[in-house]
Amino acid sequence: MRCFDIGGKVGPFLGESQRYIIFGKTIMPEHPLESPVIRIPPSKKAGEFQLTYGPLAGGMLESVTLKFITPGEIIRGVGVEDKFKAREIKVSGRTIQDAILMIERLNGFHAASHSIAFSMAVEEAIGINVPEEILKARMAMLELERIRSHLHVVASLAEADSFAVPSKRLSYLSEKVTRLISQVSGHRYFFGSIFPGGVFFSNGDKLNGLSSIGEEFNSIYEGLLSSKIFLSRLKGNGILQGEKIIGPAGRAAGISNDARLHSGCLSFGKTGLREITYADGDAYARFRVRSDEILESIRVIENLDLPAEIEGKQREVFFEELSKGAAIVESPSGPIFYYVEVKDGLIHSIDYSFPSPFNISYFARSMKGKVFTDFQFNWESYGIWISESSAVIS
Amino acid sequence: MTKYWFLNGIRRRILTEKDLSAYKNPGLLWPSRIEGHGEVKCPVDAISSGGWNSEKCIFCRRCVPSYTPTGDQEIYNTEKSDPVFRKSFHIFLVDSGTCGACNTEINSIFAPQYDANRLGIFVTSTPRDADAIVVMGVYTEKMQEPLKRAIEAVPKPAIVIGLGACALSGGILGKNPLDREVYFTRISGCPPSPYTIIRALEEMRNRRRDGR
Repeated sequence: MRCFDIGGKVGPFLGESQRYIIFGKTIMPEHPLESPVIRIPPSKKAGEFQLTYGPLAGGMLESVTLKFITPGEIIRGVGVEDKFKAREIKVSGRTIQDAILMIERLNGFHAASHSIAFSMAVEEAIGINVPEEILKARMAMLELERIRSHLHVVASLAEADSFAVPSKRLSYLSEKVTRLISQVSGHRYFFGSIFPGGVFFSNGDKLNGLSSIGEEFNSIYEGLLSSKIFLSRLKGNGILQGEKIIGPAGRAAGISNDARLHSGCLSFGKTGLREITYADGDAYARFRVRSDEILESIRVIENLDLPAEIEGKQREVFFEELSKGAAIVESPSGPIFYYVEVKDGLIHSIDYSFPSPFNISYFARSMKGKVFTDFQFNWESYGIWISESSAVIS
Repeated sequence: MTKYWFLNGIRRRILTEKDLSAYKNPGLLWPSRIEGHGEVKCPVDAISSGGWNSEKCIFCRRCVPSYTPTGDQEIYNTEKSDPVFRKSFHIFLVDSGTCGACNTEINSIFAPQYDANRLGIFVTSTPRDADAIVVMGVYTEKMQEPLKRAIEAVPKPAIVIGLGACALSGGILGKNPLDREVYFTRISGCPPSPYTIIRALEEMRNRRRDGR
């Protein structure tokens, strides 16, 4: 399967790697831009001071430092230092089998998205034709990961509001989905279950439980939508508008950018997938996009006609000539792109684009003019993973 | 669904599973104790000379079919048990360089299914309020100083717990942030399951094996 052509702009903007600007169906070998992450806080003016939060701070899931410039209440600017926990991940010169183990640990919570995008890039490079049933299993894995990730974000938003009942009920659903994931893949985070050429996947009727999760989520969602206290924290908070915004943040700003529909890498179009967009661009719109996508992902999985069992067998791949491949998938936080060059069975070089650096940049932009109590809601609404933004892959 | 969340919460009744043995995630094979024999090409040298080292293992399935998972998730080592923490146990989490999975798994123990709060386990926002530090992730240069200062800030006897293959041995991505001997309790897994984490903490606190 060929995901991309090299050429002009075809499809929506989906990210930037060191070598390429990425669109839905093409990659353009131009520029490279600097990392989009805003690391240095803006300069202080008279009467303003810098408040540093992190790298080890209560309320933050990962190690990160935020530097707020403020005269006391209003936030004039934010700098995000995401490199405290920077891991250098050296995949060049490693075998494909070793490389996939490293790639899936780049962002454990979105391991399926990373390993499927990487596997598809390798498959394109070395010319593996993957059977339809494996592609369907991968689509189900991506959607399960999306459901859990979006549940985690919505639970975090409720927790930021000290809204204990919905927060705990959403955590309960998230754990239920995690258990479903472990039943279909053998691992709670898909580790070791996805690799170039195959998957480990055991469906049976295990995914039938998703419909009851959907019903329960829908009742919580309706309850949250009727809570003025909760909504007042989200509406008008962290407004982000613009043309080149990727992932759920872009869809919340009215941009049609879902790589599942706009790229040719996986056939989500055949499932009748409906792209969710809202216009306001604020934390409320991002909450709505993610919540609606949970229900949509459940519907997609139910329509997939999944195979009962795929007993994957990892093979050593050896391909002497230098060959190239690229692929993109829509992770829960936005598109993940990999470009790989393979030679002599080893990874020769790698190029990539991840959503978290973009989301950090959007967060910093959208915090200007807000107050400190807006911070947690705005941060959580982007679904940022520092493990992903800080990693350096070579 | 009413607009009163308190009533919505009560209506769902108690969701917490009754005892610790129920926490065993059905169908979860990786990570769990593995058994088998023969030489295999292990990417992290967790299997050598026919022996298996749970602290190095990243449960990648490369050793299958020579080795197979047993489903036994009690994969931890604790130097000794300390009953002083039987009633309550406050932990401070330090992410030295994780992929995020250990972070979410330790948070999962507070999901309603497990509800570690009822077992007296709590997360603190500052090391000064903590009984123990839980270290996750590989060595990263810039996190060494915050990690050292966090350990120094914990009131004595400061207990250090290593969570996951990266913290214990460096996993496949790097090296461990602290020497193995520093850890009072070592919890294996990549990442360890909530059941493994709770079991290890209960054993460390010298509580009854059934956890009630």
